Formats: sequence, C-alpha cells, structure tokens
Amino acid sequence: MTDRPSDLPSPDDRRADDEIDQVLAASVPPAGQDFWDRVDTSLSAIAEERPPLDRPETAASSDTAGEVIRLTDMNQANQTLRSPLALRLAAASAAVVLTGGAIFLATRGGDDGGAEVATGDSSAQTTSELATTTIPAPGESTSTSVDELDSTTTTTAAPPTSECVAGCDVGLPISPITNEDALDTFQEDVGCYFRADEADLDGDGFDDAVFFSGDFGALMIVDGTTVTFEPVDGAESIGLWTVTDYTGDRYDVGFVDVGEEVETSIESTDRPATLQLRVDDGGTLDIPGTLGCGV
Amino acid sequence: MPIVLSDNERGEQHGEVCVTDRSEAPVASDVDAARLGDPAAFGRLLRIWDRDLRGVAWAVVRNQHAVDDVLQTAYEKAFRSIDGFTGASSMKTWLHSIVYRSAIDHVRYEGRRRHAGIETLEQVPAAGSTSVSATDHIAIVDALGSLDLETRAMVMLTGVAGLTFDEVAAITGVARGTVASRVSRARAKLRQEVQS
Repeated sequence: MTDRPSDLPSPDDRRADDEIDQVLAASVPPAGQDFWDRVDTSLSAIAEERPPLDRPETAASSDTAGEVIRLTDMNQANQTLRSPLALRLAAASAAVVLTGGAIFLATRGGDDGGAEVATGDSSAQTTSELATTTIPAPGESTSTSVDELDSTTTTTAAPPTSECVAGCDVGLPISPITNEDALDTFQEDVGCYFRADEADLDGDGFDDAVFFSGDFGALMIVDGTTVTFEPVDGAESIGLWTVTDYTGDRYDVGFVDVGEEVETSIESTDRPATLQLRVDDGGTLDIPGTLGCGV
Repeated sequence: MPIVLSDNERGEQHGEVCVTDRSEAPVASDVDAARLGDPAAFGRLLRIWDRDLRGVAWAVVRNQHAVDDVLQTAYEKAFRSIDGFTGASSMKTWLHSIVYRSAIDHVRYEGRRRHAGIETLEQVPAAGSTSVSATDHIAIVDALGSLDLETRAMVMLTGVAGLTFDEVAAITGVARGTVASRVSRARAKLRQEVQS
C-alpha cells in the first residue's frame, strides 16, 4: 500500500489527489504502434547479438564483447581542466601529496624505488596546509599525517607494472570526471565510473571519478585534456559498460585485480579494481579503487 | 535468487492512488524468460508497465517525441543489462529506475545543448475519462510543469504508478523522507489548482 504523508489524508485532499492522478494519467500520451515496432525490432537485434543468458554471471561478462562501441568526435571533448583536484602521474613509483583542494599522485624513476613527495605545481603548493600523504615504493608502507585532522593511516603502494622508460620527471595531472563531462563527450552518463581509494581528503574516496566508460568508449581528463579511449580488440568485458583494456592517443588504460561485483542499489554495482594508466612513452601507474557501474 | 513481484506486478491495486488499468498482470514465466534474454517476453512486460513508465518519462521530458526516444533508449538499455537484474527488487521498480535516469539524462543533455529556458509541459488532450474540467486539466498539467523535474517524476511514480515512497527513494536515489516531503509539497500545490 502506498504510504502517504500524515498531513494529507483529509477526505477533500484525497478526492483532490484522486482527480489529480486521473488527470495526470490521462495526460500521458499513449504509445503508438510504430513505437512498439521500433522497440520490438531493436530488442530482437540485441537478442541476436548475444548468446543466451542461461548463466547470468557468465553472460554478464561476455554480452558486450565485440559490440560496436563508438567514439564520438573529439571536437566534442571538453578541453578545460575544471577542478583543482588533480592526480599527478609520472612513472614507476608513486607518491601522493594531499593538499587543501588538490591531490597529486606522482611517480619517479630510479632504481631504489624509494618514495618521493611530488612537488606539484604552484597552485598545489599554495594550498598544502591541510594534509600530506606519502605512498612509497612497492612493498613499503606509507604513513599519512593529517596535520589538522589529527589522524594517521598506513597503506601499501600498489606495485608498478612496468619500468620507467621515459618521461619519469614529467607530471600529468588527472582531473575528476563529472556526469557533465561524460554527457558532453558521449551523450550519456550511465556507465561506469572509477574512483580511487587512496589520497582522499575525507576518508570516503574521491568525490569525483577519474575514469568513465560507457556505450561509446572511455574517458579520462589527463593534463587538462579530455582523452577518449576505445576498447582494445579481445579485451574482456567487466560487466556491461567496461572492458579490461582501452587505448587512446598517447595513453592506454585498463583494469586489473577486478573483484566481485557488489550491488549497491537497484541500478548500480561496485567492483574493487585497480586502474592502470599507461603512458605511451613509458611508465605505468596503478590506482586501486572502485569501479561503480550503472545499468 | 527468487523473483520479487511487487503488488502492481501481481495486478493488485494500491488503494485510492491506482488510477490506471492494471487488469493485465505480468506472467512470472515472462519475467523468467526476459531475464534469459527472450525479447518477446521482455516486450510483453514492457507493454504491461509502459503506461506507468511513460508517465514518468513524460513528466520529466515534457515532449511526446522525446518520451518515445527516452523510452526506447531505456528499454534497449534495460534489455542489454537484463542479466544484471538480480531480482532483489521488482522488475517494475528496476525498469522505473532506468527510465527515470534516462529521462533525467535526456533533459540535462538537451538543456545544455539548447540552452533552453523552462518549457511548458506539452498539452495533451485528456482521454475524456476524468471528471475534471478542461480548464482544471490544463491548470494541473501546468502546475506539474512548474515543479522541478525530479519532483515531477516523484509525483508520477507515487500517484500514477502507485509506487511507495521507499520504492521511489530507491529509484531516485533520494532519501525516503525527502521524497515524502517533496511529494507532499507538490501535491499541495497541485491541489490548489483543483480547489481554487
């Protein structure tokens, strides 16, 4: 039974509500036969494209494999760096500096694999009073001191997956992606968003995602430029909207260590995963986090 | 996982708020078949719930042609991800959430693309099945159009589709209490149009 606010149930109000509902229901334009013809045709086409779903879990990971995923015109891509929040990326080992409103993931080359706090850019340095987190080399622990929040956490950096070949001293800021970014680029915002676990300011992960994937491909904002990716042939599906490997101009991105999905609401699921961003001229950064997907 | 059929899916009415014909109830075997990718079964389910789903899309996008586009996109999206429907909620609720999201996305995208101002809700002649005068009918539809798009959807979901506040909260991602208060305020505004 539909529950109603307690301040509504007067008889007059109920009658008025009934009339309103009748009017609204009667106002909805009915579906025409041409609409159902189109829907039936498209449903049949979708059914023919995929194998029978007798095993939903298996089918869920395969029904998008080989599907046509289009990249929209790059001219649609938004070239503006919208937020001071940034991940600063270089190559083999990682360091993270949390600042007031700015986050940098930085890596550096070298054989010792030790930690190095990224210097960031000038805008970040001016707002560094809030907190500082350092993620050291693979296998080493890292301590996070939050000056004003009086808390300390320890994490372990994800191991790099390739040696630093070039560009190790060049930082690449990665900016958060909003629904508007996804809509501007792909005309959709239903898909998957990846949020990093580490380097969060409030303990709940990034408020904004750093990766989006949908029907048309994938999207990141790197160095102030919107980079679109297309799936690599043969990449495995992760649910409906994501595959394990994408390629783009100057960068490749993919996912490893993908965990089991957990339903978070009627229309979304989360999976633990590690995003790997690879720079064409060398260097890989692993970012552990959560891949959240809509239906 | 067992399939959950909501009251509406069983063809039961939600008391006084049920104003649409729900004589045709979904067949459980159609739900099973749809989950296995049967397009015909899924199409039959859509036809049962389309009126309610269409109401949500119409309230949000306010244009008949756009309603068809939004619904077709949403239905295709739902069918592509039918294997992701776990049965934890009713399929009707699940479909409503997809349509709601698709409609919201459409409005946001079109709004930015066109930089359009507030449109008036498209006037569609009543089916002649209500006792409300044509003038009141227009006033009610206009009043609905003056609400924000999320609240418009909430009014349709609760009043026309007959969903509970809990279901609407799950669909819209808004807290139940917030849904209740927004619907209450919206209904008060709509009643003023009828009673004035």
